[in-house]
Amino acid sequence: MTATLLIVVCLIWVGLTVATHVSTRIAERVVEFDVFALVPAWSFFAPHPLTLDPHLIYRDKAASGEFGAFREAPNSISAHSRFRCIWNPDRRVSKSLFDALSELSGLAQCVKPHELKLSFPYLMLANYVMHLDGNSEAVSRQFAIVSSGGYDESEEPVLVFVSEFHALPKPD
Amino acid sequence: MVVPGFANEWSAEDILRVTAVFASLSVLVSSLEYLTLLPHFRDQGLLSARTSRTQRIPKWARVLFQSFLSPRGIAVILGINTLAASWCLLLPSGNLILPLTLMVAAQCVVHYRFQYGLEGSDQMTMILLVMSWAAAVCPTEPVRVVALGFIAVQSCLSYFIAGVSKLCGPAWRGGTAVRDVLRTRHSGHPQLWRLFHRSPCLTRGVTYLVILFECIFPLVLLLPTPWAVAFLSLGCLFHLGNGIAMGFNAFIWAFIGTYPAILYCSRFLSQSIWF
Repeated sequence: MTATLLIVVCLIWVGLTVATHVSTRIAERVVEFDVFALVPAWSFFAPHPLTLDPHLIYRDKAASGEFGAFREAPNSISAHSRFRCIWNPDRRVSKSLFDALSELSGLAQCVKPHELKLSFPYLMLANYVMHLDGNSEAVSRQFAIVSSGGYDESEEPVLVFVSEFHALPKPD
Repeated sequence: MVVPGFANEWSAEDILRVTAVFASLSVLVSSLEYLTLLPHFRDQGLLSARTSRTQRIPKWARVLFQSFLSPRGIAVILGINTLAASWCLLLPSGNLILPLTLMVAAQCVVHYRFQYGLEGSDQMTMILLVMSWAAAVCPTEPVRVVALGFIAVQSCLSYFIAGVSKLCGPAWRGGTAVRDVLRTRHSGHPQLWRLFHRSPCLTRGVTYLVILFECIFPLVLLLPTPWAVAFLSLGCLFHLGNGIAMGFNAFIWAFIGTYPAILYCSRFLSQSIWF
């Protein structure tokens, strides 16, 4: 009886795994209720491998209207570590940032600006950027996504997305 | 059911215990990694609970897991994971129901909390944990066989789907994908990128070998045990290489952890075909 039940569960699990890779529509439906991410995504680096590094940059605006220089947010891309095949905590941060940047870049192409500002990746990145240290005279901040060729420095960085300026939180 | 001639006649129960050890290693490493990132879990951090609450998730899940979203809550969950995984690693031959139950529950919270940043290794680890847990809770031979069969099928599917998906990608078919991935700081390696950049033939060869290896991986189930061991040794090298070149450390434990189950299943399938 227990084995039969387990077989049914396994068949459903395998069926959903295959179906989500065959149909985008099914994959979107499954993601909605699969809160524990139990249905796996096995198409590693395919069909389109990630060949660019996304970078999160930001700049401040002072009350006088003067703009500061763009700076890169820390932890954008993890540094190369010799021991990362054993211990690689930076990857967790850079993967989170990478996922959010990729999703935001994609959403920017297909949703309206007011919807974009309420999307999870936008709120996540804005919350992070707005709390980074900056110029004490700054009153608002803007963030942007730039993609680069990574170690291939012959490729010029490309601007992918620019946010509005948002008022900076007042210091406690 | 015992597999004769396979690692001194290991039973399905022994193999599931080995599987639980690999899953525990994966959970231990990832939990300790997350614990070093606690500052990122604060309201001002990149992995803030403030913004993770805004995800579109069912209400029941929000009600159930709200208290675990805070930095302190998730630290407790990761601590439970670390202790349970250590328990399985230190006492693999004991009763594993409690530590496996704790790990399955805690991993569900981790998956819920960190929707961004999850990798295939986390999902394979969950498969190993759930099947090891099912076999520990219902320690009958049919349940063990089903659990091992499911792990083997999901493992073969993971390679096969990855291989076939690569066949649909122009960069993979063109033979440049490996070089282009290696140039990124996110998943690449500066020395290897320079090497592949200078040698288009090497790039093409490695790219096509990766596709071939992934596409034919399910055939391992039909190979006689010595050949299956040799093929899976290539798989170990593949994951070690990915760990060194691309930093995919968690994949090593999660995916190699499926190999004992594959060997168990290949023994029966290959016997019915070849003998």
